Amino acid sequence: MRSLLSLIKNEFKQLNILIIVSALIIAAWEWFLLTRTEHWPPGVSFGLGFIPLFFLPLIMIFLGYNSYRSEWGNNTIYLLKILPRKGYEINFAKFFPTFVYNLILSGALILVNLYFHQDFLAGVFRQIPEMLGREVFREFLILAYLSYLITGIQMYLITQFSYIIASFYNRFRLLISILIFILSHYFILRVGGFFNYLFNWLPDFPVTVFMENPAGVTESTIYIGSAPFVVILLLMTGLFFLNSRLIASDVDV
Amino acid sequence: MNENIIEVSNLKKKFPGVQALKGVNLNIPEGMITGIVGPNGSGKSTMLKIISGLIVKDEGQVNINRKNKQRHLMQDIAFLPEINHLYRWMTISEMIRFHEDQFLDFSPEKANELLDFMNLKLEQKINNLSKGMVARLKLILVLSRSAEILILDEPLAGIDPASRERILESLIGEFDSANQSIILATHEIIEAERFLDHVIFMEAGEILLEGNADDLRAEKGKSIRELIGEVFE
Repeated sequence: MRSLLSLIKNEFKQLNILIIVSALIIAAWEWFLLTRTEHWPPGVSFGLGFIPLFFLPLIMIFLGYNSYRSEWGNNTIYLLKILPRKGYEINFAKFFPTFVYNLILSGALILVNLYFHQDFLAGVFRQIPEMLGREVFREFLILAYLSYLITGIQMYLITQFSYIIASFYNRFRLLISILIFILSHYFILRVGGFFNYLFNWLPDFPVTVFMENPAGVTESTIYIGSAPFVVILLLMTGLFFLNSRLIASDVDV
Repeated sequence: MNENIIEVSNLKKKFPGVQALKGVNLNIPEGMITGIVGPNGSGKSTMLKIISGLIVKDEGQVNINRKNKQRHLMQDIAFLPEINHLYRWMTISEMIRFHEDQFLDFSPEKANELLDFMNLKLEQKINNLSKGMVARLKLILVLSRSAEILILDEPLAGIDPASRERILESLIGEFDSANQSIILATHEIIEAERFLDHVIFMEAGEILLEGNADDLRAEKGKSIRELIGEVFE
């Protein structure tokens, strides 16, 4: 355990600058939007406040690509490979800080945005029955955030996989990485679609929605299948172990 | 007669455009210092990396401690690569702590003793160390472990003569022949010759000559350095 913690600490230290710089940029952006709230139409600042969420998956792609590329570039891949650690431990030590970085930054961004735009949101909720409105909003937010986190993980692991596969070749590594990246997504869509049938028996997520009709606003429940979430998590777990195995046992340094 | 700690048979490895190892067979005796000598591109590093589990063989068998494993957890082997493989942003102290956390057999006390002997300071940043200082630090990290097999790939390359002498002195001083074996790939045969018990001559992915250093000297009537000239001419 101590050795794994030491590896994780090591990776966090290497992410330090990125964490500080991106947190500062996001903080500056949110501060700028807050100063404009009263000058812009309602909701604009609130909407724009979520823009950094589109960039975080891009940073995950960069971190996935760079996770082992930097080790190769600095020759520290030798140090990682001579450690008496299993591949999945080394890969977990790389993955965990990146995931925490994504989780904290995106979570903080959403919470800050919600906190500073409470007046605007209260106005929105007044349009629909208040208690139910908040409930819907919470359910929707949790599901959307879960999907967002899973997308980040998927981006990271697929990019990492693309880089590892490309490292088996001596030329056109970037091109090979891009091709593998695209093909992996296609493969996951196809295989994911097939596996969805196997997990159809899992209970679905109920989500309350409102329908407006001549009689007024009526409440109903829709069900979102949990199978795609489970399948994508299983595929990502498999990809994580595949990457670990490739790094530990198959890639030459 | 020493038993073999490493047995390699018909080991082959091909890189794009070059056959790095062409079916190598060799035995590394236990409790000895084995030197692997040969020109650049002879396959020394490739062989050591395969033995250490850093690269994958194409064909053949590597038995370590009579166990056939393609990949080993590195607990039994302390490997010193030719290049600087250390995190440059760390201080020496952080690197020692990192090794202490990772290797059960790592002794920080021994590392501190060796640091004094090698004139290195704990607070020095690795990025600011000269090539010779990095070479000394790498050796300290390897020698502070009590691994059964020490594999040193060109530990003296590019090092000034004074540092070379210091490195070899500490290597011999710390070597525990009852429990350890050393495999040393080197070009610096002048300094290293007196320490070698067993010598392997390699060229173009093949073993040209192998044997006990004293036997070879007696049989050929020449020093290992002179033999190199003869074997590789």
